[in-house]
Amino acid sequence: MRRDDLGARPDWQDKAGEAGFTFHHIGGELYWDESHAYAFSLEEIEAGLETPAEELHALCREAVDHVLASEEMLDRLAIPPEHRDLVATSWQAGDPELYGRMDFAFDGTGPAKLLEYNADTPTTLYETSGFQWDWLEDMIGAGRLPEGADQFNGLFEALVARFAALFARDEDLHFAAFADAPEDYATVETLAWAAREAGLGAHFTDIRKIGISETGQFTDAEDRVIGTLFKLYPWEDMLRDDFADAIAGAQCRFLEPPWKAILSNKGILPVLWRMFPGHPSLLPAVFEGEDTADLGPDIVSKPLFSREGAGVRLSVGGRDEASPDTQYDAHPRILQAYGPLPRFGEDHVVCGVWMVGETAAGLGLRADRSRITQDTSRFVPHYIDPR
Amino acid sequence: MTPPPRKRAARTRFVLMGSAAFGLAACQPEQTVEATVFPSVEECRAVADLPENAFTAEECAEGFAEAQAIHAESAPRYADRDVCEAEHGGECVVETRSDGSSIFLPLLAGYMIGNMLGGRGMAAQPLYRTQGGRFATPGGGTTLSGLRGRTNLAPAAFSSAPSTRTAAPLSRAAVQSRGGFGAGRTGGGTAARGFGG
Repeated sequence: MRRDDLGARPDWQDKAGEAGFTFHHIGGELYWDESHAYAFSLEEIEAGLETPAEELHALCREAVDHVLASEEMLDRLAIPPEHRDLVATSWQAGDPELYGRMDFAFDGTGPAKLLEYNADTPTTLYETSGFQWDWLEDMIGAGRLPEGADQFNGLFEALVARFAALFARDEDLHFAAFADAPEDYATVETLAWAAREAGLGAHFTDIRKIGISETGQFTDAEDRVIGTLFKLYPWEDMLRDDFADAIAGAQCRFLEPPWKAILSNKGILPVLWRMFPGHPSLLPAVFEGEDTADLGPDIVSKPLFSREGAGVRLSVGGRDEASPDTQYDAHPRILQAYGPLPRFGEDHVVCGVWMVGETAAGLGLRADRSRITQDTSRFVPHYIDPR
Repeated sequence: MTPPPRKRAARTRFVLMGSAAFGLAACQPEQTVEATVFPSVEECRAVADLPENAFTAEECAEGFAEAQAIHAESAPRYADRDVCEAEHGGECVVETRSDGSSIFLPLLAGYMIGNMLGGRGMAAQPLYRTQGGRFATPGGGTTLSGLRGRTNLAPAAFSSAPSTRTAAPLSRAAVQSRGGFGAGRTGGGTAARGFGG
């Protein structure tokens, strides 16, 4: 893994505009950053990231089974008791997963260490599967990268194939997000393109406009019944919303399925460490209040529920660093051994490996001067160097 | 030696346009199915031989049998007679479940038949009166203004609705509400930048 200061395409902002990629700057700061890129060898991608991600996903599935067998574990993960049947039923029925993203600390040499698994509502799907790929093609076309340069990015194709495998042709899917959140919307729009390419119908609804029909089914803003709902809205919130009691009887298929409530929860990290202690891709982790002897001196504290680094606190070398976002601070926490992100120049870089079904299908990198990756961390492209 | 491209995507670029991925694309009218609606099998049979109609008396009967079968499987079912009658603006019938409990169903008001695309034959759906005096398919996905005539519908209008035969019956509290998702309670109700991560 190497940082190449390739320089940006001179016309990249025009290309972003043409592609409808509107959030290349966030709050006036650069978000899409192609001034440099990261080069990997094929070996680093395959043995370093792809294989461990698929193995960890399989371990995660074992962990779901384990958690569902224990009320104590379900308590630890703060799964509401009244909705545990919903979660268990979806697992026992084999409801299929669509996608997820594992964030790793990986520098190309040692084993990649799982920081967390965003198994329910990962975003940056457009940047990863679309604009990053366009960047590679342009760079090869301009002779700035070698002809054989490649990218770990079969993500869009894998999603098309997954949709085609899970649904009958012409079936209608609803995609729900917050319409006023452009990054979230871009992710559901990308999924909708994939669904359409798989021959399915795709409809958007704002999550807040979902209703319940006279037959107890969920409906969209235009009162159409929702048979399958992709929701870019986390299960931990779904299960605490006013409609939570209606989910079990709504006869609706969900993407992600309810059992992802267990995986998208930071509590899965100590569960994995208990079940598979010493696994090379896992960082030691415990629930807050448990013995921290395994963790070493440098510790990261994370709320059970949080996204984009919110509520994360680091204690490294006796110095503390905390995310400025404290909205999740009321939740129980887990403690994880600090897995340092590789540093290139002033940037700390995290490797996000995308899962589609049970297969690793692509890579997106985020870079930040802070050691805590957050929603404003820059997206940086990567390529596989053929040399 | 250069390894063969293995990770590479092979496709054309796609564009985010704010809505183009959803619903009907602007320049591509969706294929439709011609649906014919009847209050009874007798009325269907009576017009089956007219030259403008592409169905036979036999298909009228087959369609009615299919609508009845879907009715048995997917009719809206209520725990309370009053709620059923209010929702359907008229009479509901009682059905006794194996556990002895009583469930209420609206009467079949009519049915529709349509010739499915791609030679998949004739399809049918039962229709129920709605509160507003219109007529809807079991899932409520398609609503029609009357019980006689011809109209063009999306093929999905003939998709089967989920079974209600053994599902929990509906109660008054579950009828017609909106806005029950999105409170974002684990984050204290604030989501400045959406809910993804």
